[in-house]
This record gives sequence, C-alpha cells and structure tokens, in this order.
Amino acid sequence: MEIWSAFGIFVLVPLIGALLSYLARKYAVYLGLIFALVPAIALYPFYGKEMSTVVNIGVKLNLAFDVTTWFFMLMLDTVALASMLFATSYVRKGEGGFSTLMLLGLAGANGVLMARDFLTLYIFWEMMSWSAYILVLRSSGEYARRYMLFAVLSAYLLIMGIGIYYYYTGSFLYSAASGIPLSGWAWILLFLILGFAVKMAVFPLHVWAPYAYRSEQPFVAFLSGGLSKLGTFGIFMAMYSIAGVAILQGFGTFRSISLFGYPFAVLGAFTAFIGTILAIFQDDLRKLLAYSSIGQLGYVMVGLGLGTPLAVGGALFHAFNHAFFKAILFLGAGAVIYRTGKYRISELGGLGYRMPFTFLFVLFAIFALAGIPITSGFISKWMLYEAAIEKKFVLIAPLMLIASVGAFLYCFRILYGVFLGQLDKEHENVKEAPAPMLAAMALLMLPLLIFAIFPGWILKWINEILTGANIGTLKYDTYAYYSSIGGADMLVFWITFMLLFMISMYLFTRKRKVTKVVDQYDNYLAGETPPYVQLHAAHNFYKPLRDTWAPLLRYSVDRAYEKFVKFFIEGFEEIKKMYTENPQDYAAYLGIAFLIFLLVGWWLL
Amino acid sequence: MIHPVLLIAIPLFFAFLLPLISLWSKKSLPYVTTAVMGLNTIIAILVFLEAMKAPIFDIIGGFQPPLGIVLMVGPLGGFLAMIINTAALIISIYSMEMKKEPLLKYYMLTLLLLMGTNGMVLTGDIFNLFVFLEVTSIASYGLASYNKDLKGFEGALKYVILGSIGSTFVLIGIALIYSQLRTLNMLDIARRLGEMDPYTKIVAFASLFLGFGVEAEMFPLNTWVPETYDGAPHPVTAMFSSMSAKSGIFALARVIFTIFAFANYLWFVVIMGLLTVFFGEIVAYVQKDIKRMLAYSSIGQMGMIIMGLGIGTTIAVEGAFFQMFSHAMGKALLFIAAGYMIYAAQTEKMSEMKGIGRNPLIGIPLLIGILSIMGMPPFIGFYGKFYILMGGFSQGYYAIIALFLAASIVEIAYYARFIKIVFQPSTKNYPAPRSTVYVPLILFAIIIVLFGVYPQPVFEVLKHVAAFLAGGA
Amino acid sequence: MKRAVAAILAILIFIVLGLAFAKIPFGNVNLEDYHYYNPIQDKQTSDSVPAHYLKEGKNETGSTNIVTAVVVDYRGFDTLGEVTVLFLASTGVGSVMYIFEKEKRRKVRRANAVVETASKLLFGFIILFGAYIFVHGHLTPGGGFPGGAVIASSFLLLYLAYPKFHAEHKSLNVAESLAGLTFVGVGLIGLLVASYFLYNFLPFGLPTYLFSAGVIPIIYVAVGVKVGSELTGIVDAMMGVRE
Repeated sequence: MEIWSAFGIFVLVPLIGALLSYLARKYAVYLGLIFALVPAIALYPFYGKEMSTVVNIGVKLNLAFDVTTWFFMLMLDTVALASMLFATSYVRKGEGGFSTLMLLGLAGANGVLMARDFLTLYIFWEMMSWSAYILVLRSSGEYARRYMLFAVLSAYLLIMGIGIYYYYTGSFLYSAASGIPLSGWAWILLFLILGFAVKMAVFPLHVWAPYAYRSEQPFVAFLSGGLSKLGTFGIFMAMYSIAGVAILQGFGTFRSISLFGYPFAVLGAFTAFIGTILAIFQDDLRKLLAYSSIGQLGYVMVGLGLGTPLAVGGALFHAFNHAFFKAILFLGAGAVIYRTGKYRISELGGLGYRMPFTFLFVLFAIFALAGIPITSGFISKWMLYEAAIEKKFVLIAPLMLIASVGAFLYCFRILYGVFLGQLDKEHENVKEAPAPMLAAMALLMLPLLIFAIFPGWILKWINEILTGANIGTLKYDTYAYYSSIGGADMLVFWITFMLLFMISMYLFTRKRKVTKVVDQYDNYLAGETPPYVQLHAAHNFYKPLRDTWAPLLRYSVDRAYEKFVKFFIEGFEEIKKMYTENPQDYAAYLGIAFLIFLLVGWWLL
Repeated sequence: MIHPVLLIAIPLFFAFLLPLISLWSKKSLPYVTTAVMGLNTIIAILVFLEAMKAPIFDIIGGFQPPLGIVLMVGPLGGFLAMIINTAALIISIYSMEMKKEPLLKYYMLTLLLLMGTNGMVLTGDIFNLFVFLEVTSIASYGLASYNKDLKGFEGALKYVILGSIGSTFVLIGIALIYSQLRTLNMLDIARRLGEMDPYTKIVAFASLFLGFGVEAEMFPLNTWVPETYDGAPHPVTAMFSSMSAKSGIFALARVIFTIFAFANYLWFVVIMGLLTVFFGEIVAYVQKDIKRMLAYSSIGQMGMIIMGLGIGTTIAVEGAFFQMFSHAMGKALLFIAAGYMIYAAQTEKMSEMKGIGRNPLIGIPLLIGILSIMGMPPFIGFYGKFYILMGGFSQGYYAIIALFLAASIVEIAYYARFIKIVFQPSTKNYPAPRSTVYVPLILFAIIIVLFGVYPQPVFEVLKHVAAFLAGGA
Repeated sequence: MKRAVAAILAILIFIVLGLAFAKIPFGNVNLEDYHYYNPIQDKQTSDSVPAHYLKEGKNETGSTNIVTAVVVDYRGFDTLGEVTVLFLASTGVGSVMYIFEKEKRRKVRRANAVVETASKLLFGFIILFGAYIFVHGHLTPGGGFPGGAVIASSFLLLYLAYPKFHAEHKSLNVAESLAGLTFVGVGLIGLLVASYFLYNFLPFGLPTYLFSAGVIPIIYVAVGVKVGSELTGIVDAMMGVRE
C-alpha cells in the first residue's frame, strides 16, 4: 500500500495537477505551485523506505522506491518547486500551459526515477521529453525542433539498448539481467549510456542545449537543474545498478578502472573542457549558462565513467550541487531578464546596486559553480579531481582543471557584466526581483550552504546509494571526507575561514573610517563630470583569449550537424523522384514487384 | 446471438434506401447516414464482445462451409471491425461539412465503402474477400474523384489503374488456388495447402500479396496514395486512411497468416515494410502540401504495421494490431484537422498556415494526434511502435530496426516543423471551426488519450494474437 | 528504353503465369480426388465441393439450373456483392458525371424513320425477352445479369434512335433502390426466419416448374430489374442528361 502512496504522490498528484491547472487556467500558476509543493514536501517521510509494486494498466509498470530514487527526487522535486514558485510572478497570469506542462514533466521525471523496468522507464522518459518539447516550443519556437530531434534521438538510442536487452533476456525488468554475454552488454550499455548522455548534453550530442535553454527561465531552471539529472540517474542505473561493477570490470581494467567506463570518462572531461571554453565567449546570458551547464555535467560524466567509490560519489554529489546552483543561476538570469527585458551581457551592468538579493544569490551560486569552498560545490569538485588524480590520469585531470579555470572566467563575466560595473541609464529604475523569485532562489541556496558545513549528511545518503550498487564505500564523517590522497575536512576549513574572515573584517571596518567612497566618474574621469558616459565595457569581453583560441573555435559541431542534415535533405529530394506521377511507371513498379515477390518466394520455398 | 452479417447488410440496406429517402427529404441524408453508422458501431461492439468469447462463424444461406460462404470473426477481426465502424461514425460527423453536390451519391458511396471494408475484415471466404475488395475499391474510386476537379480525377485515375491491376492479381491468385484445391474457404485452403503444386502456390501467394499490398499501401505499390489522398475530399481522405487501408492490411494479414502461414517468407515482408517506412517518411519530409505530407506519413505508418506483421512474433503482431488502432484514430484526426486548415487558410501550403493551431479547439487535439503518431506515450501510438520494435529485436533484426528508427527521426523532424508553423504566433485571423469540425477532433483525441493512459482493454484483445498467428480466426 | 523494359516485363509476367496455369487440371476428371474440410464441424468429407454441387444441388436449392443454384444460393452473398459493385459503378458514374447546369444540347441529327419505327416496335419485345431470361433464371441458362443487360440494351436502342430521349431518372432510381432493397430484404428475412442471412426460406416446389426453388426467382427478378435500371442509368449519365 505504501508504494501506492509513493506512486500516487510523486506521479499521480502532478498528473492530476496538470489536468486541473489546464482546466482552471485562471489559477494555473498557483495550482501548479501547490501540486509541486506536495511531492517536494512529502518526500521527507519517504527517506530510507524501500518498496516496490506492479501497476497494471495493460502493460505492467514495475515501480519501486529506494534511496537512489529518493536522492534524485530530492533534487528534481525541490528544483521543480523553486521553479514553480519563481513562475508565479514570471509567467503571465491565466496561462494554463506552463504549469500543466511543468507538472507533466515532473510526473514523467518522477516516473523515470521510480521505474524498475525499461518499458516504464521509456513511457515516463518520453512523457517528460515531449512536455519539455512543448515548453521549449512555447517561447523559442525556432529551436524547439532541434530539442525534439535530440530528445527523440535519445529515446531511440534507449530503444536500441532496451531492445538488445530484451533480445537476451526476453524481459524488460532490470532485475532480469542474467546470462547476457559481454558483447551484448557492450552494446546495451553503449546505447543506453549514449541515450542518457543526450539528456546530459555530453559532447557530440550537446548541440540542442544552448538553444533549448533560451526558453522561459523557470522552465530552463527545471530543465537544466532537474531534468538533465535524469541522464545522470540513467547512466548510473545502467552502469552500476543493471550491469553492475563485476560486468564493467569484466571488460578489462586500466589502473583498476573499467575499460568500458574509461572512454566515457575521457568524453566527460572533453565535454567539461569544451563546454567551458564555449561558455567563455558567449554574450547571451542564457547561452553562457547553457554551455556552462554542458561543462558541469561533463564533470559528472567523468565521475560516472571512472567508477571508483570516490568518483561516483563525487559525481552524484556534483550532480546534486549542479541541480541547485544552476537552477539559481537560471532563475537569477530570469529575474534579470524579467526586470530589464535584456539578456545580452554587454547591454547590462551595475544591476547589483538595484537587485542586491538577486546578486547575492547568484554570487553564491557562482561560488558553488567555480568550486569555492564556502559552498558545497567545492567538495564535490574536489572529490572528482581526487578521483582522477588518485589514479594518475594525465588526460582527464588536466582537462578538468583547465575547465575549472575557464569556469572562473565566465563566472567573472556574469558577475562583472551583469551585476557590477556601471549601471545603465535606462536601468536606473529597475527594482529588485519580486518576493516569490527571491524566495525561490533562497530555497535553492540552503542546501548549498548546509552541505558545505555538514558534507557528512549528504555523503551518508550517497554512501547508501554506493553500497546499494556494490561500488564500495566512502570514508567520511559529519564534517569531512577522506581519500587515499587527502580528502577535505570542512571543519578545519571553516575554522580557518572564520578566523581569516574575522581578521579581514576587522581590518576592513577599521580601514573604512579612513576610506572615502568616490563616485565612479571621479575615478575614471579625473573629476570632470559630463552628463553621461558609458564606462561599462562588456563588449568583446575576453577578446585576446578569443583570438588565441580562434583556430580551434573554427570547428563547430553545430555546423557539422547542419551539413549532415543538408546532405540528407538533398538525398531526399532525389528519392522523391521515384514518385514520378506517371501511372505507366507505377504500373511497371507493380509488375517488377510481382516478379520480385515471386522470385523471393520461389527461392524461399 | 448477434450476426456479424448485419454489419454488412445494414449499410447496404440503407445505401439502397437513401435514394428513396432523398425523394422525401434531402436534408435528412447526413443524419440518416450518421445514424446508420452509429447503429453499425453498436452492432460492431456487440459482435466484438461476442467474438471475444469464441470466434463467430456466421453461415450465409444455411450451407455449411466450404459449400457456402461463412463469415469468420475472431477477436481481432471483431476488434478491427469495431475500429473501422467507430472511425466511420466519427468521420461521418465531419462529413456533414460536405456541401458539394450530388450529396445523395456521396452518402451512398460512404455507406458502401463502410460495407466493403466491413466485409473485407469479417469474411472467411477468399472469393468473398475479393468481392468486398472490389466493393471497397470501386467505392473509393468514386469518392476519390468526388471533387470533380483536375487533381481529384488524376488521383482517382491512378488509383483506378493500380487498384484494378491489384484486383486482377488477387483474382488470378484465387483462380489458381481454386483450380488446384476446388475450395474457397480460407480455413479449408489453409488445411489442404500442402496438396498444391509448389510453383502454383508461390504464384498464387505472390499474386495475393501484391493485390492486397496495393490496398495496404505497401512499397512500391503505394504510388497512388499521395495523389489520391490529395485529390479526394477531406472526410474521404480520413476514411481512406482509417478504413480502407486498415481492411487492406487485415486482408494481407489473413493471406500471410491464416491462409498461407508462410513463415519462410516473413523476413521479406519485414524488408518490404522497412522500405515502405523509408520511402514514406523520406518523401513526406520534402512535401510542402499538408495533405500530401500526411499521405506519405500514412504510408510510413502502414509500413510500420507491415513490418510488425512480417516480424511475426506474438509481441510484434500485437504491436501491429495496436498500431492499426492508433493509426486509424490518429490519422483520421490529422486529416480532419488538415481539412479544416485547408478550408481556413484557403491553401494547401503548410507555410501559409501560421498560427492556425492557436485556437485550442483545433490545437490541442492536433497536438495529441501528432504526438500519438510520433509514438509518444501516454498516447496510443506509443504501444504499437514499441511492441513492433521489441518484436523485431526479439527476432534479432537489429540493423532493420536501426534503419527504421532513423526513418522515424525523419518523421519526427517533419512533424516538428509542422507543429512549429501551426503554433507560431501570427496576426492572421482564421474562421472559427464549426462544431462539425471540432466534435470529431475531440472525440478522436479522447479515444487516443483514454486508451493511451489505460491500454488494458486493448491488450486484453491482443491476447488472442497468438491464436491468430497459429492460423485461427 | 521504357518500352523495351515494359515489353520484357509483360513477357516475363505472361511466362510466369502461363507456367502456373499449366499446372492446373482442367475438366472434372479427378474431381473425386479432393476432399473438402469443414472448418466448423472440423471434419473431412469424401466429397469435393463441385461434386457436391452437382450431386446435391437440386435437392438443396430446388433450382434446376445448377449454375443458378451456385450463383444465387450457395454463393448468394457474392452475388449480392457483385450487384453492389454494379450499383457502385452506376453511383460512381452518376457522381462523376454530375453536371451542375444543363449543358447546351448538342445538335444531333435525327435517325431515319426506319430506325425510329423499328426501335419502337422492338423495344417491348426486347424487354419481354430480358424479363424472360431473368424470370426463368433458375430453370434455363441465363439469369438476372444477362436479363438486366438485355433490358438496358432496349433503352440504349431508344437513346440511339431518339437523340432527345431520356429515361426518367427518378423512376430509374426508385426501381434500382426497390430492387436492391428486395435483395437485402430477402436476406434479412432469411436471417429472421432461420438465422441464416439469405436463407432460402420459401418452399422449393417441384423442380423444373416456374414456381420453384424458393427465393431464387425473387432474387433473380430483383437482380434483373436492378441491373437493367443501373445500366440504363449509366448510359443516361454518360449521355449527360440530368433531371
């Protein structure tokens, strides 16, 4: 009965909410908020429960609830709640579509997390995909098709994996995996991982993300923060829950890392690198965040590919952090866009004075993104570095470190270009974002700070997941984790940090008495005051860097895809000529077909 | 005891009665037609419920088969008859939009088309199948040219040429079988097939396969489809895709499974199905007219069903039958919506239809229909596609499925393009749809969602697929 | 090029079909070799279907003409279908040939007096002959289809002789409908009486007499009227004459 309550709360309630909010369009956003609130709150009593059931709707839906499900639901449902809260003031009133589709996507995502057979997984996966597609379609119609094609590509890659699995086992159940030869596993895992990797926007399959992330910001926060984690979940499940460590090790090992996982780890490192490099050169705030999202999920991919307890733990932790900080960043960008109507970094500036709270939240999110230790982003990144360094991977670790430096660069671009510097004249009257938006960002803020102080709490959950999948265990206590080459003790850090903070605070406040705050103009213009001068220079940011990278930036995966598509469409035009519209030809086709049918039949007789 | 023969007799009776009714009142014709189709739907449901218990053998004229003709209605036949009659009923609501004279002939032809398709699905006698094939195709010729413009005549003429070649081949096949076995009953033929000369058997099989392939839109026999669909009136196009194509494919299934049980040949059927999908989807991509695009897409869907039949495992054939159901509902919906769009935008060009779907009465059902055709859960299009693919995998057709999925991505691409155009904001004002347009759309959409969310009843029917594959009714 | 391909194709198909038909035994030499199988009762008999028709046809249907017995009774459902096909053809032609406004009458020369007079004279006899053919369908060779065609030919004669002649469309339609309704009605009555569609529910009477073979004459009369009026209707539609 309990699982029914879980199924009801996490899948059916959002579905009912979707229906209701479509019917009652006037109160759609509030209904959406309420129905997103229910699963997000109801999640807490479900911690640590293990249950499973079969729902028969004609096809059997095998559902279960365990700590992995719970862990991922924690991210998804919280991000969804924050997004819906944000949307109450962002989305136009009386529009039913947004909450309906968000709730459908949420139900689909929760269903994916609870599924224990591939059919169920696929049903909920596609439900999530198409509702996201329509959400993309609502605001950036041009690029919705691109999203849809990649979503479907992901689904079809999954189908290939599922089908091969079905060929060997004759069942869709995860638990039925036995007696599959290693070559079969290779194909199954390859297709499943690639399929899920599309959702995570891993390197050659990432081109949908920068375009899809241009749609309505609360949805994008959910898409990037929440739904992309389903890719993480899927890969984790395929590699460690369905196949298991033993089979992965069966492919052979390289410094005790599975040879099957290693290429994916390298791919992840490349993704991190490329996503970061591309993010640096974006002027569109949303696109910048999108590439940054691609880069961050590359880290997660590295962890999942390496497969040591430290790496997988780091990956899960980083996925968790990414869900929250990327959601904050997108929501922050949403707040800025909501207030100013602009999304080019070069057209913004100085908003930190007008939107201080938004600035604060975005600042913390950026700390988490860049891995600065007062947020939990640091710990997860550190775990991943250590996992790579521990095994002396000279390709993966440097790529990750370079990407991390790159992350500082684009983070600075956001900070300076949007929030610092000179305030644009037309933004003089910009107000702070409305309360629901701030509340949403504050909600997402909490875990980043809490787990920076008490990483042991989340590591406990992650440890349960890892032991459940027989990967190994983490060494940790409430304030720290340990590894063979060090680890991170947050207690030491916080004490040091607090001491240093106090000292510098003291110095700062003492110094303050003798400092004089000068006007920006005084600084730049030597006291002369013309009426208005544009001092903010965010155009061509990082031009020197761009010039350095120019030879590499020439190659674009986007353009490669476009060429590929063009080639095929020309081919289609050729094929179309078969339909000549001349009935004599058609009659001849019939004759030829008859002879061929006959020949084949004769041969097969 | 309900008699399946009523499904054939009632539309025929009323088709004969309509001229008399038109003498009395011309305005009542559409209502009478709809009422007849409603009655037929009720009977079809009763027949289906009866057939679920045990296959019905309805003996015509009191002569035991194979002396006389027998209607053989298994659960699947009953299911398909129910689908066809339901689709006909819903489309007949949209038919009330029809304003072009001579309306009397139009309604007679639709009733006879229903009778023919019902007969093809229900009959258990191979010559009777041919007769109903003729009825169906001649009614289709008449309806295809109903618009009496150049496009309609051209499409109908091509259909006539290919359709009559197909029928001739069917007749040759039947003649060969009869001359060797002296019987026309399907089960009798199936039982005594071994007595046939192998060469003659193959020629007979190839002829029947070809003949029903024309009706089932199999590659390369489907060349008539786009032009005929394009030239026909909108309700008629919906009927073609949801009624005559379905009966054609069921006849094909009868030939493959019930009569010949030619297991060696099945992989070739799979390849034909794949080619059908490939050509259908690829050519659909480059179309600019909405109805042509949908027609080619229809070919692609039929190819998927043929593939499912060809794979021939229980799960794949279950998928194929599910796909017949979903395609009948989804494509009828899309063709009706396309009819409205052409009427509202005054053109067939898709690029001129910006923002037409922003009216929720059109947009929401249209979206549901497209998502269902794309194979997205939780709509009915999903289960058929998924089961066919899984059946293919269980037989080890990896490469074929991969190619199929590639073609399927092309399908998604052009439907996504279509969705984008239809839903993008636009300042154009389109006339609001009348109730005769949106009621059928909403009915189809309800069916699609209902059985998509809870497909249990359909799967209950599809449990009988195993018996069908074993050569039963 | 295309022509050569087409020719080769046609020759190949002919050869293939010729080879297939070469394997077919003609005549009833080995008619007894086939033992049909009844799928409902699941039993094999020692008879073949044609042999059964020849042996039992007269007893089971009461029709003297075995061809009619097969066409109207054993396989009456097919005949209903064929009638429908013809009906469809006439409806389809009527729909396609439908003219919105009265076309300008072409000027047609009148036929000469001999033709006009002779056709008037012959008209009644041809109709009588057609009626004879279908009324005696169960006794002598012939039946509804040839009878109907003969009747239609009498109207064709009138069309040829009198360019301005046109059959009254309404009554043609009514005749057509009533005949069709009779056929289906007989079938439905059979369904009511014996729960078999198209059941031969009337007494068979004595073979070789006019009133014999139960419903077969009724059906054949209906078919005759129907075919006659339909073919006339088709001719009429082709002439482009409308009510």
